[in-house]
Amino acid sequence: MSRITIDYDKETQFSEAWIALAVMLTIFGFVFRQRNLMLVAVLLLTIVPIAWLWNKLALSGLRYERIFSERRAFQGETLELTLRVSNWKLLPMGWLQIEDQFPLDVPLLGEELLTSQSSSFGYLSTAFSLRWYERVSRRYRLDCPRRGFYRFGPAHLKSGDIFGLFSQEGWQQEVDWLIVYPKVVPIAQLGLLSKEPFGETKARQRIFEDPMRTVGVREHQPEDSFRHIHWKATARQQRLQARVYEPTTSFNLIIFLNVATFPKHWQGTDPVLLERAISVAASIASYSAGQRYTVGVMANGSVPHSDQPIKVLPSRDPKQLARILEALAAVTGFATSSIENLLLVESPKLPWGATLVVVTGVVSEELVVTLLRLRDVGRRLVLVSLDQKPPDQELEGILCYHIPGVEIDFRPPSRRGEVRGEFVQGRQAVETFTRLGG
Amino acid sequence: MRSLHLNWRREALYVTLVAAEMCWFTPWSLVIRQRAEALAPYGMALSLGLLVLAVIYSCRILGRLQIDLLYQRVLLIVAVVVSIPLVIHVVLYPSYGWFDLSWLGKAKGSLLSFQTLPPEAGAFALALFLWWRGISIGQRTLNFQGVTFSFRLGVLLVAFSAPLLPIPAAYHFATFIVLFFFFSLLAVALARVEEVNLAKGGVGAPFNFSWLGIVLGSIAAVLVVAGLISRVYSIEGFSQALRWLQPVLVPLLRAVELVLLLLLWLLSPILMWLFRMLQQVVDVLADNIEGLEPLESLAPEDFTRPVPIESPLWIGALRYICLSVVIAGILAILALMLRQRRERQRRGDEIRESLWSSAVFTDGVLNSLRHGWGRLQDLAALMGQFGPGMRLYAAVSIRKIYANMARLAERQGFPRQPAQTPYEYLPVLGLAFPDCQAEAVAITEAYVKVHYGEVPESIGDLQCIREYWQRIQSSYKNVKRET
Repeated sequence: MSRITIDYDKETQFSEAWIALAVMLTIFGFVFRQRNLMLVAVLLLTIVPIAWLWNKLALSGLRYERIFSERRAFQGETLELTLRVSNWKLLPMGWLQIEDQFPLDVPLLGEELLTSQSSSFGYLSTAFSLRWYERVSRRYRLDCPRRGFYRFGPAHLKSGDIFGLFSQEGWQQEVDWLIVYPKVVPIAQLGLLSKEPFGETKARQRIFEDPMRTVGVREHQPEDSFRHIHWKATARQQRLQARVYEPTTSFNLIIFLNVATFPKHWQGTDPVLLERAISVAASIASYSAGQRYTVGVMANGSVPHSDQPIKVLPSRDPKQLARILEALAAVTGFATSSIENLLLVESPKLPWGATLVVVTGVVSEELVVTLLRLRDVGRRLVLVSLDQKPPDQELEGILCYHIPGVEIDFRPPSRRGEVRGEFVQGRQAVETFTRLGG
Repeated sequence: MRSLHLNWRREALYVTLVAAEMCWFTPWSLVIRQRAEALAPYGMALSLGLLVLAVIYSCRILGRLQIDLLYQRVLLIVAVVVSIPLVIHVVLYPSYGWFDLSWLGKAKGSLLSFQTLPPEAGAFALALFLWWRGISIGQRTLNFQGVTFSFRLGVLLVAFSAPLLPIPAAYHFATFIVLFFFFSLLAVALARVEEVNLAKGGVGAPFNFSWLGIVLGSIAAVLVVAGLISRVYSIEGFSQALRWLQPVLVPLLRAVELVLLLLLWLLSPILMWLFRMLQQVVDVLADNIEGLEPLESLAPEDFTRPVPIESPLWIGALRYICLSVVIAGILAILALMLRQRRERQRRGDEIRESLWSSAVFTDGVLNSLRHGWGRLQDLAALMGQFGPGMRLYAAVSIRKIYANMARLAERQGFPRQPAQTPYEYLPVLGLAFPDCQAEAVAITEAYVKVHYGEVPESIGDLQCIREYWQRIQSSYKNVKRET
């Protein structure tokens, strides 16, 4: 016996043939005086057009939004995400299916994403039913276990008439971004000196003075400017007295991050080492911002979908730390050039007295040579090496930190409470710095 | 035993599917009963539907009981044997009480008469058919495609049944047709949301009783609209329309009649030859069927109506117990629903809020009117540019084809920017439809020409543009199927 097979590939099982059938039934019904045939024709001619029109209007007046409790988070934090669907029309939406593209690295707590062809994102499939002029909001919790620059969307929408006879699909192209900052830890925890870890910060020469900070008064010298005369002291002493100002000590610090984790690029990437290097760079930046240094960051890595190296020029702007952390959040393991090349290209453009802090997971011979060359031309250098073995040769005149086994991340979920405490510290550092600067 | 997971939408889907089937089937089962005055179609539809549902649930429960297949088959055979007399009783002897078995003797006499095809045999076949339907539905995977297929098949069966049913059964058929569409639409809606719900992630199913209320209201509204339309769209309505058109139609029909007469006169030698041939065939057949009985002798023998017996006291008590159980069941379901609702509210993971305000509604209506007015103006401008007729039709068609092409490209992730000209958008279209670049160029050219007042000169040219568009569509479908 042959079995009936159904065309499962068809989008909808209804077509113009129904209208043709209805017209045919009308003719037969009228010619043969069959009221029931006329009734079937009327029902078809009513139901099919209404359903077709309903389907056409289904996606109009529809708004789909993703609302994040925070747009920026620290690694390990949990955020709240609200998906909100609004139906701004009189027609109810019997069914609405939304497949929203979500990054797999930021999992939804208690929900599973549908897999996709890509290993980096999946789909959150949700179903809604909305009445006329109604808004439905659903709350989810997002875990942020990994640093990154994450895209949410676009969303694929599917809906139709209330009877489900027809369906239509649409895309919402708007995307949202979530930035998960790298982990920030206190400098002492990294094994760096807690006091002036990057060398002396006091000015050796009194070249520039801060006219707002007077430290004393002395006899006026012929070379002193008239603007420096302390008139009240002169009147009291009956001799010309001049103000003595505090020398300015603006400390410039530029972090050079090496995203390469092996001596040769074709050897691949060690993701754990890369994350540690990024975290160390972020921690140094956080410390520097806290000390009110002029700080910047450069890396031979790139942000996603770009081939340009990451470059945040040194500044004391209140938002500088946030900028640096955002840049470090976006770093990928793809090296656009070698760190030696980056150092040689960028160092001439940097302020002369700036301290260059090189954070690297691997110390190659080329890097050592470059550092020595820069030292020889008078650059202040600090090397933070996460390599397992210390540098082969003595780097005299370069402050070196060798912190191969420092544990920064990847704690078990049972210690989430402790981890969360540290994130609060990190967030406080950003906020405090912003407040102070502001 | 594996647990029987009850999902109200799935169970409602079974009920609506069975109800829709009974709507087209019951009038046919009425044909078995030859006494028109004893017809009770709705009660019969309900009884037959309950039997099919009983079969479905028996199959499902047996499927979940981890017992031997042989025992399952034995149980099913016993159930079939028990249900057949029940069907015969419901269909042919409804006036006999449930515990009055005197109708069995009558049925046996009728079955053993061997003179004509007894109605009991028809009822027997009906019972077997119902069992087949029950088992078939019970074992089916109730997906959207399957349910819509049932709906389409049902529409065709209804359409074919309408002229074939004899008068007493056809009398009730109009109500059954309306009920068929009601249950079928409900079944399709339930199947659609079941399909959507299977694929969903996220909290709680949004297809609750409130949703069901909206669907039922919409179906009822559509059927009411259809009822109102049927007042005009009817034999009487068409007759009236024909009467109004009589001054035009009469001369037209006269002309057609004359043409037909002329044709008949021309074809008369061939037609006369055909008639002679047919007459010879009929004569030969008439000689062969002379031995058959006249149809009057096939009528069933009359039977006397049995005197109803008084039911014993325990049956009355049983009735009250059944009623109490049903009420308790309804109360339990209500309590369960309330509890679930409270739990959902407590969880608070889904918030519903109304966006309704008269200002928003007024704005929406005004925007729609403005939009409609804009489109009318657009059409009027086109009409002014091309004039009514073929040129306007061609211009509108090409604009629509271009809009559809842009929409299809947007769906693939290549939207047209507001400031982009058609020629600037052309390379993007090339990326969207790599296999149909020439077609995209041709459609864009035609669109730009329409914009500057040039339209295809002939229907053939327009058809060519349509074919280009169809090629793009089929290419898109192929790509979609492959991915």
